[in-house]
Amino acid sequence: MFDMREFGIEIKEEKEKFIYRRNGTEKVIFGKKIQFDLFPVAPSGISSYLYLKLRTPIMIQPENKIKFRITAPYDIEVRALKKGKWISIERIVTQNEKYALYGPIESGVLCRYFESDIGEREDTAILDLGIENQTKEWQEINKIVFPINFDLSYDKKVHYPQFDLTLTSTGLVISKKDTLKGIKEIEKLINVQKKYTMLWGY
Amino acid sequence: MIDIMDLLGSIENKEIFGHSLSSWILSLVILIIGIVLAKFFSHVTWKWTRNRLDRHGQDIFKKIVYYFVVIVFVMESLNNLGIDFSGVLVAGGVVGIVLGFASQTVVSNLISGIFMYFDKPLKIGDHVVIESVNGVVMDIDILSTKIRTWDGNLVRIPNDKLFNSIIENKVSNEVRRIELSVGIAYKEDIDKAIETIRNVLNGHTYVLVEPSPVIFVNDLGDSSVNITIKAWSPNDYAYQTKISLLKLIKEAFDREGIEIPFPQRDIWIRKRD
Repeated sequence: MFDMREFGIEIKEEKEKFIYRRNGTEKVIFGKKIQFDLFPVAPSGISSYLYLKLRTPIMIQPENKIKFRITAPYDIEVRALKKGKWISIERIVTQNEKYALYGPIESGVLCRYFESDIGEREDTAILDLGIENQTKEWQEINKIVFPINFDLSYDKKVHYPQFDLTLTSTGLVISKKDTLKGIKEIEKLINVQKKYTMLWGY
Repeated sequence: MIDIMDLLGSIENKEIFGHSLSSWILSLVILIIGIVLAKFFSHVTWKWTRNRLDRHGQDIFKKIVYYFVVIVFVMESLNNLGIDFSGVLVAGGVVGIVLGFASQTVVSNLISGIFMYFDKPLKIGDHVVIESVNGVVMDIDILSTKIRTWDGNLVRIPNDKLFNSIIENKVSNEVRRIELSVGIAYKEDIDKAIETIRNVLNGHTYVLVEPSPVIFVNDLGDSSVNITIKAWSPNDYAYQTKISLLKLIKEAFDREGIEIPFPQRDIWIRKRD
């Protein structure tokens, strides 16, 4: 799915070693018959949360369920593989890398920031959301924040795991479903935290 | 050949400061065993607290266990020499007062160290500013705290002094605000300059989108219109962000043809008629 040349990657094989070059980065990988591949990964960077700012806010009526799809960012990881074991050579940021704080200064969480559109875009991943408004009021959603503790899957497009959002009186609760079936999984999900409550507004 | 029994007999009979040599040797052995056991127990405590406490707490508990065991064995060792501690405690009232005054600072440091453990104003690895000392916390001991300043010096601050000082912890939150000031010439368009700065901030990875940066004219100076920039950055990247922003703003101003003036003074020379 991903072409090394597209990212300016050059791998040269020499005697019992490979030389990896990209944009001034150079690494030497010792070994024989090593396979190099590119994988889409969740865009963590220096934070472990993702902040998706919806360019178009979503309104949802009381006690109603909706499903929709939004764009989400991904990074590309260059990996060296040998007999099922791998090491990350480099992480390539495909979209503009920005950060934002979600919550107050003293207790908020630092998040990777991305402005999402409703629908799909060529250069971004797909995130399918199911939202249930359990409150008795209309609700407006401007942003979605959740911990990055999952891997992405891909076929022709890069997919996030499906997320279910529940609007309650305490906040927006985000829970993650399993990876979509039938799509090549990079790895098993790392289910450290399955639920996250957005306490500081949505 | 030396007869062992004679040797033991001579040790038994030999007196030093009113006690037999064997009593002195036994006391010494008790003391050595005490030190070995103290080291062992403090090590066990350190291992036991490894996943339960932070490094500061580990150090405190390790030292408390060490000194407790040592004191118990020192008392036992002295007891072996016939020194009765109940008598010492009663008779030592005056001595105790004298020692109390003498060790006032030590005790004060110790108690401050314990209070600081629970208060947690700083921890090892934090970037702190304590009065004129600016650096990274290297060690928090039971009596003192050691700071490595940015120019590589090691500063030891007694805990009681630290406890009463204003401590500015630069890394207690995930983000920190950086503040910059740039001056533009009076002839320049302020809105264009602000827009140029905003573009630089938007393009910088480590300038946070939220809380959003603030850019405003802060002062109409002698030679320039001074613009202040307040932007938030992840704590670990704040310093490098500040440095790079100044360079990027200067380059952006150069590209846009916005002049950063230097102080100018017009001198009028009066001609005598």
